[in-house]
Amino acid sequence: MKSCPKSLVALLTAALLLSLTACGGSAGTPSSTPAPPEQTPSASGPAQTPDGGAQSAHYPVKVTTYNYAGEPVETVYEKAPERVIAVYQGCIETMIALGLEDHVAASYGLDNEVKEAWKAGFDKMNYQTEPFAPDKEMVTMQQPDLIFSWGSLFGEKNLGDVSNWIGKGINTYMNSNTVPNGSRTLENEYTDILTIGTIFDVEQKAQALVDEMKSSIAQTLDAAKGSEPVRVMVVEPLGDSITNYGAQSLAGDMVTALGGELAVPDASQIGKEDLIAADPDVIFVVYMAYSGDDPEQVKADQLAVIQDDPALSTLSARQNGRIHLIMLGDMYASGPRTLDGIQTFAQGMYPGLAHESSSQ
Amino acid sequence: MKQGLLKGRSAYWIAIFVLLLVLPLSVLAAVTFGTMDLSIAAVYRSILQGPLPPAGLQDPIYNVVWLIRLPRLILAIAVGMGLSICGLVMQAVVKNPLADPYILGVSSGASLGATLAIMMGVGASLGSNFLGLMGFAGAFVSSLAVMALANIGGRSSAVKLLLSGTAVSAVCSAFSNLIVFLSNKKEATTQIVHWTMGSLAGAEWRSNGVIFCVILAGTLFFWSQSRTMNLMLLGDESAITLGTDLHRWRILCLLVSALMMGFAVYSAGMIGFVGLVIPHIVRMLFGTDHKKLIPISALLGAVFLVWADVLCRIVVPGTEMPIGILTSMTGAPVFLYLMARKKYGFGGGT
Repeated sequence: MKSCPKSLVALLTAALLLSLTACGGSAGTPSSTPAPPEQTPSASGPAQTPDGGAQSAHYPVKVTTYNYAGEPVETVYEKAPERVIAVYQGCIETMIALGLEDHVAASYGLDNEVKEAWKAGFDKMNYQTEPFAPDKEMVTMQQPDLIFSWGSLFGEKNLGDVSNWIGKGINTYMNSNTVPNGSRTLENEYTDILTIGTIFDVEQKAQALVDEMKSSIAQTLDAAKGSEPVRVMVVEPLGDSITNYGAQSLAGDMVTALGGELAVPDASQIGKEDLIAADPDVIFVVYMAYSGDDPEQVKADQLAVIQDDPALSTLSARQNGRIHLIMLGDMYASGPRTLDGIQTFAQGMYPGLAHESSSQ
Repeated sequence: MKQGLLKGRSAYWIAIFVLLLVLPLSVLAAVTFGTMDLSIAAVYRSILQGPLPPAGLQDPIYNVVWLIRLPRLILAIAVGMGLSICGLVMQAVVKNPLADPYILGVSSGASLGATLAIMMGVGASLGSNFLGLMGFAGAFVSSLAVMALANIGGRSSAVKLLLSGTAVSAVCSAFSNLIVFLSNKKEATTQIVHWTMGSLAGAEWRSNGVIFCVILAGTLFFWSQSRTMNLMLLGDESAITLGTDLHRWRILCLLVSALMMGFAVYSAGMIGFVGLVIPHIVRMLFGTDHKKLIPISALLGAVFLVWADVLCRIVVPGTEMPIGILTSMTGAPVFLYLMARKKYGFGGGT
């Protein structure tokens, strides 16, 4: 029984290789011809530890991640993974932001284009436009040593739970803010960046990213010291209903970390009257432009729900021009974009303050 | 014709009178409920000041009362009326007590329209309520398809209508699922689920007027045809001997109710159970004569939805529950209680 899937994989690999050569080799990207598992990645190993630390001193590394039930799972890394499958925006961008694009075998599932500064790195990540998210077979054929993705990908209808992969010697890392039934906090985003830094032995770079986020918050808090806490709501109009990002969301945690107060911390669905009753100082309207949508149109539509409804004309945020847009990707499992989320919130909450750290 | 628990003409007129009284009172009571902490006096002062915005200053009380609460309640009346009437009509047309307004492909057609709108942006050029418009189009087109299918190879019958309705539903939901499956929009899936749970939150005066007129006109039409619907329960053979060919009437009834349901879906998404339960409750109480059933069902449906909307706004403070959840949760136990209490006949030969 045990040997059966292995021989099947070998057979399929052979079939794939055969078909590739038959096709005339024009599709000869390095990643589509996966290295056989027996072969040790000799040459690439030491060259790709930018911190230059001796491998033996850093590894093995123990990392805690989660399974689809939300329970912690211990994983061990003997060396930096060489063939990472990175799925979804935050995971792809975390890899680029840490300069790890060369470790990525294939990437999938981008909702928005990566930021301009990351384009060069992104080109090396063998991004697959189809399908949006890989299935079990595709992942198996890529022979990865790490699957880095959101919790939802490990559902039984997608890749299946992490234990199946870890059992096969393929590590997994789940973005902490997408762990089923888990908490949604800024700290989780920091932890993820730092942990990926540890896994790949690029801890300084990871620390620098997190420090930048933390100092952005500290500067804002410093500058806003003494002023009344701003009452904030983060809302996403969806059809007739309005989703409210409360204290249990990453957006809510960002607002609170920046010294703001959530006007409606508990509700997840609200009506227009709830908005008037809460009457927050600042309203952030969440938008999400998927590929194929016109981002400007999406922004205008989302803003109009709050900005143009006559019933909401008395909102003080509207009268004071304090309704702002924020992109979903900057405040939901945001990875390195967490910094952008923090800055957007900070600028909206404290319009008078200068933001030296805003590089965008 | 079966008699209900409350027999006689006087019971019927008393019921109409009471409901006509309860409906405006319900609206006046319901308008005082909401998250905003407004005193009853303030609400009524605002209502007495009239529907025009107070000159000059921005008044939050006016906005809440006239632009948020009242349009919702008016919409609740129209939709509640439409749902129970269409449920009643469908039960007669297909001669099946399990029928509800959505049975003949309406719900799945509406879902497909909404899914196309949300997932693929179809109809986005139609303006901000393109989601509702696509729901309307889906509901109406699928109803027409059901009718066309039922008439292939001979005249439609109640059974053929039900079967084509099931077939169209299956095809529409398969396509909706395919679109959802192929799409990468995680948020959009949530949006579709919310849409199918129904909500009156999108109410505004402009669309309310049209919807109210369509539903009222449809209700009056069906009331004028109550004899035909009584015949439908007797079946085609009996109707023919009594001089009425039900075939044409069935199509006409379906067209009118498809139009009414299209507008209801457009403005409120899908609200389950009202169209199934209200007609049955009224039938239990007043018998199976459509001349009585139609006005009482219309009024009771309206009152029911007004209070359901109040409940869904206050049951969890600060948050708004989709009304479809509430109608099913409150409607089902009442229905079961009434069913358990008395042997209940659907009418006609059953």
